[in-house]
Amino acid sequence: MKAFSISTALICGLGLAGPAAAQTEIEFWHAFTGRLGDLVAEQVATFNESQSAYHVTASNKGNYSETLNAGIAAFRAGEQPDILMVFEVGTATMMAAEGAVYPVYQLMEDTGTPFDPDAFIGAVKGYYTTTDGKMLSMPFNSSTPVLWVNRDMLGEAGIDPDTDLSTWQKVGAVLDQLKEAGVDCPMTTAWQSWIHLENLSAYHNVPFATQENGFAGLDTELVFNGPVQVKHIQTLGDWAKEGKFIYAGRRNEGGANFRAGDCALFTESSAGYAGIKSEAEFDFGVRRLPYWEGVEGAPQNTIIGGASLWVMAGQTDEEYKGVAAFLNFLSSPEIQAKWHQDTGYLPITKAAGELTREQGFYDENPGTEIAVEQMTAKEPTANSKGIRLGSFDQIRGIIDEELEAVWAGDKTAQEALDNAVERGNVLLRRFEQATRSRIGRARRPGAGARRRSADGKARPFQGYLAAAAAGPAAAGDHSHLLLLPGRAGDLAIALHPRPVRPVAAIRGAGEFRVPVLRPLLPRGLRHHRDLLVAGHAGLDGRGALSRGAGRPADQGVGHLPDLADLALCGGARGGRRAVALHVQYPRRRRHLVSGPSRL
Amino acid sequence: MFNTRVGVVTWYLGLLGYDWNHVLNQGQAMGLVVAASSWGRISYNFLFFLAGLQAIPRSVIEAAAIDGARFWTRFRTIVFPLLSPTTFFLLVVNIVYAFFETFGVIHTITSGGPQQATTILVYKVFSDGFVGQDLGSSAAQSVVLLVVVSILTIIQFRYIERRVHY
Repeated sequence: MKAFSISTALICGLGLAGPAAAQTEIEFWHAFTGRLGDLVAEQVATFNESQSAYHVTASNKGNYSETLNAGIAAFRAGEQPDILMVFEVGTATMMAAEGAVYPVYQLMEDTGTPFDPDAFIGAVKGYYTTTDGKMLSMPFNSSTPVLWVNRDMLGEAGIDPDTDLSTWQKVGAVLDQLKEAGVDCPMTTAWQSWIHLENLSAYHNVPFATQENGFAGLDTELVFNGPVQVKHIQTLGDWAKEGKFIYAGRRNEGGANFRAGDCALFTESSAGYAGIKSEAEFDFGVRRLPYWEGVEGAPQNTIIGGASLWVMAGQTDEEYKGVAAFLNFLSSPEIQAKWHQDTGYLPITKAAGELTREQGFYDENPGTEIAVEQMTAKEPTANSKGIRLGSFDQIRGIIDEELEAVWAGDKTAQEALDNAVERGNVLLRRFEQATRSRIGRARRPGAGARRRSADGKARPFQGYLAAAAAGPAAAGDHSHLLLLPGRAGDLAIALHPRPVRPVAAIRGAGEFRVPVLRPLLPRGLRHHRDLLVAGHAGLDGRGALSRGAGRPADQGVGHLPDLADLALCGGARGGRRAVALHVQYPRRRRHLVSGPSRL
Repeated sequence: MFNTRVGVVTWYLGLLGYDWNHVLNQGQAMGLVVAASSWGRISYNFLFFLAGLQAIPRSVIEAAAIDGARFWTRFRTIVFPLLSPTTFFLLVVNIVYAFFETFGVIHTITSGGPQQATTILVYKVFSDGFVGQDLGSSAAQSVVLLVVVSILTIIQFRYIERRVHY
């Protein structure tokens, strides 16, 4: 019931917040600080000046992980932004969060915005597209790892700054020379898991996980403890022991050392360009990521990192029009080309790449096109399309921990990677289980009711669940019924007539777990045409739901005025029931029609 | 200061021949967290002890001095027992601090690493719940944490408080 009172408050809040300003406010949460943050602010300002109907407010919510978590937490509280930036690692999580996101292809369709997914370069598009070719989020900043070189340092150590660094064998030899010349930090890295495991695997055309790295199914298993990966990590571990590879931290801490002129070689995203260019007081160069000579198929292509923009569910149509316009603006060739040239992120559309070439940027800044070439040189294979794993952020955390054990010399590469695979697989299974049970229920209307009755418990609900399940289907195509499960015995039904979104038809009802309840409720309540019928039954199995909510709900959908919200809430504890009728005229006032009453 | 490449302390330790690298060395990472947390608590504890010391009547100490008690005896038999309520309070508060509020220091310095050396229970609760979105497990762990701290506090109240003189 607590969840319900929160949701009632939400209805009220929404009803009061009318369109006070002439401009529609669009909230955009991103993860950029510093120079990148300034550049995003500049893009947003350009958009705001270019038209007067919408106003985009961009706010920084910390680093990538923090932004994702802030978005999830906000969604649970019903305070989500219109646009949320999610890094590539969160892609599977967001894809599984059906109902929380508003797929971009659909947004564009619904708002009638011209949109051509094929305008994006293949490797970028594939990462954010479902297997049936629907683009779920808008690529924004994509990068790929490259090797940054401090040319001055190589020169001082008596090495030709243009020496060949295309393979790890050659890099190894150069590191020896650097060490002999007394260089403290011959090589460092950022994002160790992304560069030295994920991209290493793709670049050598070996799998990182089964099922095409998770693209083909949820039943994927990590397999990055193969010979190529072990050899690479073991070599790096040996280099770490000899002081040739310096580990600086899990994220991009190493960047500070490289930019300060402390380290000679640095494996980092191509997007490190913005920072290096503005801070480095030395002559730097960009090289392709090295590969192991002798591995068949290497070098394949590298994969992307970076973030895409997800549109969150539960906002007004007016806002969505603005969102569509903003996303369209962001992917226009001029904006993309400027972004690419300023930051070193890849030009995500083909047009932006061509425009950059025409503008002569590559001629003036040799090396900046390497990332694009490295990524598009070969047609991606199943191993190099990308990686799509649930709980990937945590898996990276595990990989980080295990790699640290290798750098510290506590474990061999084989031990560490075996261990990481084993620990990661546990998370994958848990994610698979959680996602399966939700999707499974969503796809089979009425299944919940049947399953519930099959176990012989809670019979009083059976008829009403079945009736409610049948109801909305009869009410029209775009009606949806949500079954919201609560604690054992708690049950809430939400009838949810919404024209736009194909959210899950039926959820819950089989296993009653609280976590499912929370993400669903706010969405159900944020729309003014939602009808919510919530029932609450005591542990004795007798439900206020069945009597309190069942009848009005069955007929209610058709009879209620379009703009009315009706909330029926029945609470039963120890046999007593309370039902509150709550009708709201959206954007104006709310009326509490009747307080608690007995049925 | 302790940055493994540009930190002042790291540099001086390097001169002494000690290789400081809390990014990789688990013991050092934990040591650094402990040192940083303790450092922040010194002032707080100092204030309480100072107040406690000032509240001890001079006359009692003088009386003991007249009876021939030397400094150490005076401290052990008079000052410390009279300080015991303060000490006890600080003990409880500091232990609770160690369990919960060191979170900030850990999050900033090590993020629970290297490996899992500084992933204390409260940090694990955070990372499972807010990073991993595994709210069930996280909530269960937080209950365990609550129980552990409660038990510790109860033990303190039962066994140590007996020796406290108010």
